[in-house]
Amino acid sequence: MKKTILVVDDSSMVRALFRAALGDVEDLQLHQACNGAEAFEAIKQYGEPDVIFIDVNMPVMDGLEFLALAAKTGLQQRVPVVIISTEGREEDVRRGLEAGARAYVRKPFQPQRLLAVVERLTARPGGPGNARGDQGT
Amino acid sequence: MKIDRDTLVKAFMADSEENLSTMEDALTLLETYPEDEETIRVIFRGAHTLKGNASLLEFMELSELAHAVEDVLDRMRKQVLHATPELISLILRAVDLMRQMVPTVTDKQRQVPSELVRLMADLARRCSSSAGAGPTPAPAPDGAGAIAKGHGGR
Repeated sequence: MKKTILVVDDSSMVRALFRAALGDVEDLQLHQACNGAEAFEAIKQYGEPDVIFIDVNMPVMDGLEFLALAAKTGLQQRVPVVIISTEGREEDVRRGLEAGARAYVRKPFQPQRLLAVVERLTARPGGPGNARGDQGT
Repeated sequence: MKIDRDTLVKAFMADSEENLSTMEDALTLLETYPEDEETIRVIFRGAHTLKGNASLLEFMELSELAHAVEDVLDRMRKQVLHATPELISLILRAVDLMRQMVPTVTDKQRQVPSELVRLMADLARRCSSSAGAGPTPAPAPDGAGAIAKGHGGR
């Protein structure tokens, strides 16, 4: 069964990077949104993904606002959310993890990093475990 | 994993033009409404996205300039700095320079424009002069030397 990834970023370049990195990976399906509000629309349309990658600074609904709403609706408990951000200060990472993100990947990142995070977060119980607190490059 | 760099460069060019135009329009609007928080946020986001996109292509001079603009806008968001005509003009100069730099992303022999160093110094000076002056204490500025140090990841 295919794993579904939702990437949420207002930068078309970042979305293109995700398509390039994950678009051709077997058993992965990629959906995209430009902000948190569009992400909820995409989830309505396509169903809940296996992993959500989300930027912090976006118009309409930013990444932290998305996480807050995802916590209220229970989405956050069902779907791991990974923050992708250029902000890498300790306080930024802490804020993201406290808001419920399962991992924090700093831009610029190596495309291979994305696949590694997906594999870790979708591993079965007893597998390699999740990536909470991961501050990958 | 092989990434088609041409595809990313095309997306970078398109994204950059859109962001720079949005920033320019918003800066023009800011001249009339210098306290408008949403307009300041729009300009901040444009600089922030440019910073991230440029860093993804390892175009660090552009990323650092966008970062310097973002730092100034961050202080404007926090009302430590105010949108004076002179400050708006400085940011517009940075937007102009970024627009000139974007097409050089694929140029392996590209030179650091002399205007870049001056602008970075000017922007850093604005941040420096605002440190501790407003309601939110500002961190120490990076200064123009940040160009050589690479992206600090902030």
